[in-house]
Amino acid sequence: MKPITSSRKLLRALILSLVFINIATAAGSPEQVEKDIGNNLYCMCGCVTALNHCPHENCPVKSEMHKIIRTDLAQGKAEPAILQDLVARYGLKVLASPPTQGFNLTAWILPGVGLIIGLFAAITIVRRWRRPALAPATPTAPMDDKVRAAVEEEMKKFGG
Amino acid sequence: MVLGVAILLVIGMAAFVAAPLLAPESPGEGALPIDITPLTDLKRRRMVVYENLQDLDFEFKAGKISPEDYQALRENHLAEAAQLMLASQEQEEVTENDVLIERQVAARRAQRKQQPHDPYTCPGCGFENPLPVKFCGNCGTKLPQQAPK
Amino acid sequence: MNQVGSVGLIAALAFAIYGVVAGAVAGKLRSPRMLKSAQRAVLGFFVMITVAVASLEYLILTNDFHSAYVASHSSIALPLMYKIPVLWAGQEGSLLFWTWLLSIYAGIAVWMNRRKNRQLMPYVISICMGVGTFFSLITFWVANPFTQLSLVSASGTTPFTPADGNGLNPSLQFHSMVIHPPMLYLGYVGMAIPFAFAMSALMTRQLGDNWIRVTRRWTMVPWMFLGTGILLGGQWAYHVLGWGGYWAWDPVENASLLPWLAGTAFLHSVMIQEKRGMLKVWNMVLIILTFFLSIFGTFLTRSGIISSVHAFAKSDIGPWFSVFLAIIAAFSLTVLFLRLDFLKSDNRLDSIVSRESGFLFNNWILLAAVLAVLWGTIFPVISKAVENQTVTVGPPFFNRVMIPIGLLLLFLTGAGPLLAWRKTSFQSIKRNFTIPLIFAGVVGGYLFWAGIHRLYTWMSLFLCAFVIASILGEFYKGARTRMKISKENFFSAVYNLTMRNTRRYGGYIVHLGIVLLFVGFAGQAFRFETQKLMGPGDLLQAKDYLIRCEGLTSGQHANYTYETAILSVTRDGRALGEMRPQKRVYMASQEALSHIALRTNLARDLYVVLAGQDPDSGKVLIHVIINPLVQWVWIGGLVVLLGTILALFPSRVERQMDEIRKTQEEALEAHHVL
Repeated sequence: MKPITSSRKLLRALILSLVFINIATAAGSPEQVEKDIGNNLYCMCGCVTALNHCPHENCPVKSEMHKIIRTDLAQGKAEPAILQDLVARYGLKVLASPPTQGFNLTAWILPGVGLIIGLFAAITIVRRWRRPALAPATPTAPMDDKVRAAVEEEMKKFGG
Repeated sequence: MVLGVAILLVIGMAAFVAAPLLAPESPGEGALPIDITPLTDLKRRRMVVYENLQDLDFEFKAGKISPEDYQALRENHLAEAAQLMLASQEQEEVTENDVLIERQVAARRAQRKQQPHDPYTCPGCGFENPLPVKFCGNCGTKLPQQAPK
Repeated sequence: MNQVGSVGLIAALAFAIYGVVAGAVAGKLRSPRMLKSAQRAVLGFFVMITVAVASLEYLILTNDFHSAYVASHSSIALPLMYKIPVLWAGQEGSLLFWTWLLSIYAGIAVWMNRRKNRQLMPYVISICMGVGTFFSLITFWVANPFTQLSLVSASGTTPFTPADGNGLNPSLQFHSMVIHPPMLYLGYVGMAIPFAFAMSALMTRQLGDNWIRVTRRWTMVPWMFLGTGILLGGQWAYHVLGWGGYWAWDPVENASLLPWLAGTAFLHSVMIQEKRGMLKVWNMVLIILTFFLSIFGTFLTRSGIISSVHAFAKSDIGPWFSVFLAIIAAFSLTVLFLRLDFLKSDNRLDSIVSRESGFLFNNWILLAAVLAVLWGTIFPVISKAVENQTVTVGPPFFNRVMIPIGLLLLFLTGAGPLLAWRKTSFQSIKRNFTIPLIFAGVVGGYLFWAGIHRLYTWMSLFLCAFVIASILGEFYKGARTRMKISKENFFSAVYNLTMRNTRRYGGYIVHLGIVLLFVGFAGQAFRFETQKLMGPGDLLQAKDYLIRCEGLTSGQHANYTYETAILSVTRDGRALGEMRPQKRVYMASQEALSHIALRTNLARDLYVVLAGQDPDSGKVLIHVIINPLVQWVWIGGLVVLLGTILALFPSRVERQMDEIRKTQEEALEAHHVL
């Protein structure tokens, strides 16, 4: 069955690409970079929102964080270095998502692991459920005419 | 004022809740009726099969299923319905037998008792009602009126 | 009135406890009179909670600031429309409100089943009242809304009545906020009923799966409310928070999404049980999980163990909820385990390529989504416990994890309906998938040509096209078949088709709604933002919109002071009219809030916020966001709602079973009369 294998390959490629391809972020103007960074940070004023979305007008914490980012950008630092500076200042919780190392890596891995375990579980269940073939499923003797008549009668009534 | 009304309301509700427990046993009151007897369950399962069959017909006509699959599945569904029908018929016989046996037992018991002054035994089914009632607690037959002793 | 409320609460608690016992006894003894008493206890519970709710509402409406709850959540100047929702604005009130909704649900369940399912009802009552006992207990004991303010001084405590209250959080003074919490709560609370039916069916060893049909409907209703509540919350965030988005993966948002996802999984796999008598244990697990996650969601929302934008007060109800959750888990899993023998499958799988396995994979994805969201939501707590390190799990995490899952789900939404029940041959797969795939390919090609190169966005729109084609194809194929059989015209064929099998076609309509939601989500990729300090006469170019500041005004309202920018908008030289973004400072709390201005059409929203004012120049900071396709999110939600209502119509089997039941009933009554 050639078509099946090729479609399987396609499916696998599809899944792999879904798992591994990240959204490419186009580096642009410093303002754009600042905005991108702002999405990956939380404002530390206690509003529990991304830095870009802090609802407070004249939030002192927000402006302090922006100042750090701007100085770093002026020094020509790239995003990872800037994030590092902010972590040094505010701690890990300033990052909008956990870092991908140490224990915090589990945050990223577990959903994927769950997905894969679930897939295997589903496949196992399907395999175990499946009976060999369709025909021998109901090894009824040649159907009793009386029963068959009763079934057909009832079915007609149901159809109405 | 409002507090008093509220408290009265609480007392009233409590009485309302307790009322069914305090009321004398009503005639014909047995255990909670069974909603789904084995027979109705079998019937319901047959209807599900019929529904599946109609869906199958429809999907076949809509061109979603190949003719071979359609034939095989249709036979399969019909066989399932037939099995359920068979089970249903067996069950009916069992039920009929049960009823028959019960009746005989009751009749025999009634014969054995044959006491003229046993106002609570139902003449229909032989059930011995624990309390003086107008109707049998088991089958609901009206009991002959007798003056309480 | 405080005493009246307390009396109501205590009496409700008493009725609830009595209901638990009476229900269990009625179930054990199968006694009709005990059942009647238990049913009346449910009514008593409802009446008493209603008394408590009414007295709290009375205190709120009469500005009785001697009551601590009213003083901290209401104020004299608050308009009536926002005074009523004060009932659920705070911790204590919302728990009371929760309990009240539970009493309504339980009452309706009892009333609708007064003549059927009488074997199930005793335990259903018992379990509902068990939940009611917990909630009325914590409302009375831990978070009582009827406490009164008093001053403690050297001479003792004296009652204290402030002149005015703190007022309602201004961000909650928004129209969709009036119905968003009730909707969400109706969703959370309602999941108690299917749970109660499922547990009761297990405990009474109910034959067959009649109960699962009851449970399915009782799941759909709260599921519908929950979904509507979630979207209304999104709409509130979009209109009020002023950052131009509707979903921020906030813990409280996630908490409402979790039972919705689990409920969605249940509503799909329940079909396999109804049609094929399979997956019985799994369905039980899903009901239990859905209810558990509803309570867990209430717990997350109310306990403040995870910091959230929904700045609810930290409170001491956490441990109570933990114990309750543990009881639910222990109880339900024990019952399930003891009854495993009754949950054997009636059938087996015929083929791997079938609707059944499609549903199984749908469950796989939905559960993976539950796991990912749950894990991300509680990870800060876990990290704190394990590493003693506070981390944040925010949108970047969820977007990266959930978008692939969402896309897989979207694919299944279109692929599932194309698979036939039991067995689908390769030939029919080829036939059924060809047209939708060609259509999606054409749309995808066009989109690529039109410049959409981001993988996720492109895939999402490609899959949307695929799903739309496959679902419309289903309608078309069905209608054509009907036209052939019964010579109807196309429209009446579609109508009859839908009405004859409301569950299937209602479900398809729900899928269409989900596609529209995804179209809206995909639009977020093309979001455009810009901002500028503007004074009268200043111009701001945002893509093809030109915004000119005509002037600034400020003034005072009963409740707040405001600053408004009057902007005129032109697009490609065509005048579109005026927009007036506003900044309000609420007097009671001195909180500032943006009142956005919005120009909306099906293609895009122009979202303008007055973000702040420069104290030196007096100019205002105007933030402009062009948000494509946002309207489709709300439209999609509406379509989901309509499809769900359609699917709630009883199916033919249900109608016929109802007739059989009625016949039985009449026979029984006639028998008694004799």
